[in-house]
Amino acid sequence: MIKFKNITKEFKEKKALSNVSFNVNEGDIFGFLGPSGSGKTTTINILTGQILQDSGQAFILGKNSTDISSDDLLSIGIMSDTVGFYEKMSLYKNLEFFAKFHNIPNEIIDDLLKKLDLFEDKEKKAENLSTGMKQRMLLIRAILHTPKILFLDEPTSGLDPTLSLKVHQILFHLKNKGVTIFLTTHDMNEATKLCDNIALLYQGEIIEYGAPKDIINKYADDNKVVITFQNGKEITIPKEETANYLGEFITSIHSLETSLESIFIQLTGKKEEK
Amino acid sequence: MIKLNRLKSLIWLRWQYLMSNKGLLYIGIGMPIGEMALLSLIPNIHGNAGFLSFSLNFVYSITSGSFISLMIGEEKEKKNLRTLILSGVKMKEYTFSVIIFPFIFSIISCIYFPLLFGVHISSWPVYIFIIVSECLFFILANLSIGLFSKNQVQASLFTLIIFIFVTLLPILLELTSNELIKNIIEWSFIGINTKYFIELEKFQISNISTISILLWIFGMSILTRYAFAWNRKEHN
Ligand SMILES: Nc1ncnc2c1ncn2[C@@H]1O[C@H](COP(=O)(O)OP(=O)(O)O)[C@@H](O)[C@H]1O
Ligand SMILES: [Mg+2]
Repeated sequence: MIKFKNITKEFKEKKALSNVSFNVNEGDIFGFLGPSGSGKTTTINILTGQILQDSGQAFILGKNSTDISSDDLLSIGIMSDTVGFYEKMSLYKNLEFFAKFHNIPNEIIDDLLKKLDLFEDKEKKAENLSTGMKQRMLLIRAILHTPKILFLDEPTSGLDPTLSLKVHQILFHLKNKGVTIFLTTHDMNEATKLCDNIALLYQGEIIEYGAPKDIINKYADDNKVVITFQNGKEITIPKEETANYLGEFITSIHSLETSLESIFIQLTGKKEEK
Repeated sequence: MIKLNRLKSLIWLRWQYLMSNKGLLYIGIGMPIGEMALLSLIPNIHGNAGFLSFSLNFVYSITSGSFISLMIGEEKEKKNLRTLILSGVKMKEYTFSVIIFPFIFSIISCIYFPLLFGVHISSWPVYIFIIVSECLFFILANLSIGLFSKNQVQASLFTLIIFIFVTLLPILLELTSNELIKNIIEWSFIGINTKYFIELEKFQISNISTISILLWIFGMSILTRYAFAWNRKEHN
């Protein structure tokens, strides 16, 4: 459904992507994870034909991404920074246009507005909406017509946990309808929960790629323990070395629990800034 | 293929947009009509073709000009154009939906002004041919300007340059007997309009300036097509 092959993209001496490759299967939710500036949005822009890569090839819907026609775009949904809305028009009118454009009844808008707690605000001018509301409006806009491929650039970054959960439910619902979803996030837990496959992106390079469970298993290490000292210091050591620390002021010893987050930190040596 | 429901939805969108941006309607339509109405109150202006010519330049530059370039400039600045393109809106659908209202209002103003100034039009078909082709040219030119500009400020600047050209050329023509300038004007996009107001009753549709305005319109529609496609990609 989506194929990214040896893509490199450089902006004025700044390498945004270097030799990135991955595949997304039809009907999957694919998570593209990485800190800000790692190249996530650039990847979406290349896939949707908005910018041109320096080398490599990108395919979507069986076509080279540079050849996507306006008819192809009818079955693609995009929510990203490059998407705008009519500020002086109401939230509802902004969405109503796309419903008319795709010949979709307004009940679908109403239903999504209710699901995402926006129904009460539908008559508000779009420019007066909060960041989180705008984000949900743009999400509704992108999914209104049940596209074949959906691109979501950090769809939950400004949302509280309850709303994020509602978005997750909607995404699962779309997946059940067969929509292929390409999602970027820097929330590792979200990716573990939602995605069939993920790629961890760091400074324009993919440093890990596969099913979240497989990646976690790969790095899970039953032979290691985490010791937390009274002064707050934490160390991870092989089990058999535990004895060496027993004389010290320890508050806890437990086996190493692996999460994508800790794997990411382990791989990059860098704590993700949120 | 243009689908009717898509075209209808885009026209609906444009109408909603204009209704929520009344300031733009005032600048684009209200101002030219209002100022000309005031002007027509001056005694002795009645029946003066020179004032009609002046008022038409106003319509070309504002209702067919700034109105469009300000609208498209904002559309670009707020990423609405990109959003529409990415949603699968086609160039022809978009173009039609954004030019339809400025076109209708331009034509209405151009037909109203001879009545307002009490200027006798010897042949309405000729007059209408001239205003329709000039309005169409200015609309397409300003659409391209809007599409190529980064924002509203840039768009207004380019529109201003055309406005100055349009206002200065006829004055220049009156002051000079230079053949080169005469030729330039005849082949320029404002040639047919300028010639009409010099020759009035004697004006014939079959002359160089008619061919020239049709060529200008054709050229502008090609430029518009290119300008639309150009917006599909990001440019730094
Ligand atoms: N249009 C651009 N011009 C110059 N540099 C850019 C442009 N777009 C992105 N970049 C740079 O490319 C890198 C990756 O950016 P981006 O793909 O937006 O990252 P992310 O979405 O993961 O935060 C960043 O260093 C960013 O500054
Ligand atoms: Mg980004």
